[in-house]
Amino acid sequence: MTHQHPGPDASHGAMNTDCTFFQENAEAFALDVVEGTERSRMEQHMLWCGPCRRGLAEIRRVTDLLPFLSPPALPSPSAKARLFERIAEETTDDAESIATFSNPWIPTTPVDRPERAARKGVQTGAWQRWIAPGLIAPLVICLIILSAWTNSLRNEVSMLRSAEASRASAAVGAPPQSDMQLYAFRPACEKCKEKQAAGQFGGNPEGSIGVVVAWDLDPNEKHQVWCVDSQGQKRLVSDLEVEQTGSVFQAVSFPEPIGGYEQIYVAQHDGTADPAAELMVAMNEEHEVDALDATPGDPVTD
Amino acid sequence: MRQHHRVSENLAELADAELVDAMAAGDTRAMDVLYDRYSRAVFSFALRLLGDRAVAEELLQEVFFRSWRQARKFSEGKGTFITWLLSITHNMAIDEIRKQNRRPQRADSADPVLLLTNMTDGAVPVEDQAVFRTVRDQIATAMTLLPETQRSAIQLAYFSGLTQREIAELQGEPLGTIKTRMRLAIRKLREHLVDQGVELQ
Repeated sequence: MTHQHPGPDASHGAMNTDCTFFQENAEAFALDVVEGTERSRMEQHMLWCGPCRRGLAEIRRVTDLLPFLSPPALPSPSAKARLFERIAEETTDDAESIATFSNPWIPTTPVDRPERAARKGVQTGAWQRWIAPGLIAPLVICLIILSAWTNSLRNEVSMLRSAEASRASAAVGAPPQSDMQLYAFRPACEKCKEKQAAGQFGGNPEGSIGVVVAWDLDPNEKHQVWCVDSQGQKRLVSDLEVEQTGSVFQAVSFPEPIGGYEQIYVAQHDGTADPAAELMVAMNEEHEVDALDATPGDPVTD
Repeated sequence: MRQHHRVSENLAELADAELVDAMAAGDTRAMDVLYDRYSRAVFSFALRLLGDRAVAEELLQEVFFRSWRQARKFSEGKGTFITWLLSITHNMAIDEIRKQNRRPQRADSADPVLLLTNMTDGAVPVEDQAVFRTVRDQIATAMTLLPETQRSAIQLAYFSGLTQREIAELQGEPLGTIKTRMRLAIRKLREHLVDQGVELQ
């Protein structure tokens, strides 16, 4: 796997030492036997190096065939039944009242989706009468929780700001900064039909520490914080420790001041160097939730 | 945009991508078809990695459940659906092996070529054999053409979940030698597959 390095790629000119390192380890990477810092180095490199990324894809066309070396075997029929029972449980939990459930293993009575009913000219008033309270109640609960989270976040950010400001003051003998910002994460997964994750991001644009607060993430998935820098390059920043409730409250250290990034986003780790964003904040847009303009140590109030 | 509204017409005739779209829209019938299409391949691989039917069935269920939940994230540009499933299977199985620090089989008894040579397809339906037999024969033939040391390197890395460092310790070789061996093994494997006419572009 050799290449002349046209760059993102072009700006990088000739093939550099990272490319050489990548090429020496690409086969091992595809076999998933590269560890620790070497793996991180390769993942970082892949984010911006198109030729190496394509080279790895070629290698994976070979390693993708290795599973077929397995002797054929049949799972028991009960494995399928268990799977569909599990799906049925989740489906009915999440959207019992609106989904057209067609599990072949569990007989159900089909229910028309509202849009289908509308197309067919069916009266939807009764459906709306019942579903509206069902939607409003969770919304109210969410707003209450959001308010609690926001207050909690403000206190946390304020503490972080105080600590950072104190360190800065001690270092340069200057008055502490007080321009902490809160940004609303916006759902970036447009195709998601199920419950969307939501959250906020807080931090001093001039500083390199941010706080991620989010909820309704899938606790069974590994989540990460990524950023897009001013050159448009995606970078992995940190893993997130999502609680079983699906929420996370975590301070994250960025390599550069957060105000310099184009985007900061949360993504599910899918084993690729380009995971789809689930929650995203564009740092240069006018959309911050709030600006904490109190001086450090002042009480934060609504 | 792919048209997943056609799903109700004849599910079994639809391409994977269309079924995945339907699955992402919540259609469990599409999931049913995809399961019938690929559960054997996933289960065979899981069993090969874990060496235990019960654990392999748990993994099978988990893999398909994840594919159900993450269907909307599947991108054709990143490979085929079966490749995606097998990749999830491998990642989860190797994580489990490394977490438990257990090796499913001794390396010398788990040579993939030996396993394939001795296997019987009696329990597998004829149509299923036909789907995967060709690719299995091609990759098995290519593997037999590798030197034993290179074949062993792939076996230990890919099927037993050992890291390069662990393989070096196990085989009493310098880490650099293992890295080179791994690199050469995949390159040779590629050459042998291409010689058999396998399209890898």
